[in-house]
Amino acid sequence: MSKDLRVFDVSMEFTRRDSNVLALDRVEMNVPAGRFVSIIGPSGCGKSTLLRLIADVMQPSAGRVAVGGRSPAEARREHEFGFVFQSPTLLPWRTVLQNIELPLDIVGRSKRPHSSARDLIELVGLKGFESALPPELSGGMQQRAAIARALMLRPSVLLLDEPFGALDEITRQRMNLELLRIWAETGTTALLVTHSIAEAVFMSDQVLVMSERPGRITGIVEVPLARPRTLDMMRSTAFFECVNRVRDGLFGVEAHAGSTEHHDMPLVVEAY
Amino acid sequence: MDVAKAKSAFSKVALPMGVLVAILCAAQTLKYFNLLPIFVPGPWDVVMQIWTSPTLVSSNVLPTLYKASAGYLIAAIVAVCAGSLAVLVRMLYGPIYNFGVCINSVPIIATAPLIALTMGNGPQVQIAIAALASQFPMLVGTMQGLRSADARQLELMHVLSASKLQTLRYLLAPGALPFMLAGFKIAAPSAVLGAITAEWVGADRGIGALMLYALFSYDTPKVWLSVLLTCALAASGYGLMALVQHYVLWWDRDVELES
Repeated sequence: MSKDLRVFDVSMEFTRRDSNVLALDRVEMNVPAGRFVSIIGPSGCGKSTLLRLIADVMQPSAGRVAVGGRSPAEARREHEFGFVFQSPTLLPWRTVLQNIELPLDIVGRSKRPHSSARDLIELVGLKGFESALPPELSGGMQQRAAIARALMLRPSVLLLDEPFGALDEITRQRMNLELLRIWAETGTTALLVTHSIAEAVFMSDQVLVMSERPGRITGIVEVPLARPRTLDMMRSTAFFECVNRVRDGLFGVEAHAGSTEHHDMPLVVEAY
Repeated sequence: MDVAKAKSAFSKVALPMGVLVAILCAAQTLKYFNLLPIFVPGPWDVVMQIWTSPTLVSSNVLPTLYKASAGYLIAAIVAVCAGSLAVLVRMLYGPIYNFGVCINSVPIIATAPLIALTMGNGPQVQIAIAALASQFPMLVGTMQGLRSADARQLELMHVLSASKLQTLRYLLAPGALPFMLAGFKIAAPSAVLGAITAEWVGADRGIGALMLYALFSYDTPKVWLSVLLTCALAASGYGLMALVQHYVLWWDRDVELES
């Protein structure tokens, strides 16, 4: 079961000391149920804020968010969200298994249909590490545990806030593939915040490009690549075209001035 | 046992013990040749005090142990409650912290007679002073510990729609434990020292009383014996709490208290 996400005319203003900072400026967004959508933008453009507004961690200054037609607060109380943070945010005194089962401890084991922790551990490839404590795991493994925890209550919306930003390139590539596999198996709506162009294109059905502060959605790039995605697709012309369109959206005229119109020459494009 | 382990065991236990024995032997030798000042007894004379009158030790250590523990326990309960209240009600954070600092800065030796005046003459005075002397690290540990959860962890609990009580149970309390236990450990010797200082003002039994009588009767071996017993009691309090810390904190987190 997945839900669609809609953001209507949302603005967010922060008060810092005496001045007000406009973090988000009238953002419109529509993520159909079951799709994988990425938000890409420069650091500090408010993309993480947008994710927190959807998850009801913050309230927008103006505008409205709807999750499957309901308010974020209602959706949160119904445990519709799985949230994966930039850092794994595991509780250091709980084992991997206990960390993954934390949502069950809070909601109550009998209250809600949930996945079996053992299945999830298998799904994220942490079999054999059930009783390990978080500091004993590598960064990538900790993030897998965090993903499993986010999936525990079978959320209809998976919110990912630069989940692989702290990982090395090789681990990141592998985690991307695994995340896609997990997403395909669970069938949730996924919203990924990232600042990697290639990651955004490779993962998503649609990439939303955001401008620098105040954050606005300045471009939407549809990704026509088939599913399931494979690493080979990263060499295809379609992939590079999408990458270039996202880059154009991010840098506007500057990109054109620098690299002219070599869209058919993939070699000049850096993947990350 | 491999070489590295044997080496570390040696440097941890055997080496300090060896140094201690060497110092004691040296002191005893110096005393034998009358090279030590008159107010420093030979180590053997101090040990003989225990041998000749074992009831002297037990009848003075046990009351102090009781008073220090009772004061420590009261301080722990009050500090944890006050610390939790301070974190819960933001307005009270500053006042409670400052109050703790004030109590901690008051000289015990001056307040003990005042407390004796209001509370009468009995173990309750020493208990109260042991509590006052040991509260601060426990208060700081509780306050700092309950605020140690980071923003992401709190957001996680929020997204999971955890109630306040659940947030306390699953996140705040376990997160506070390392800080609280660090405070409890530091506070244990303070409770012992507080109780002993308070015993100077009026107690017929206790290490402090023993110390005072010995001082006034120029019985230097007994003075040194009371110093030895004080150290032993304070150190065992610290050691006991270190042991508790070691076994309760299986996730092994070293924290530093800021005070």
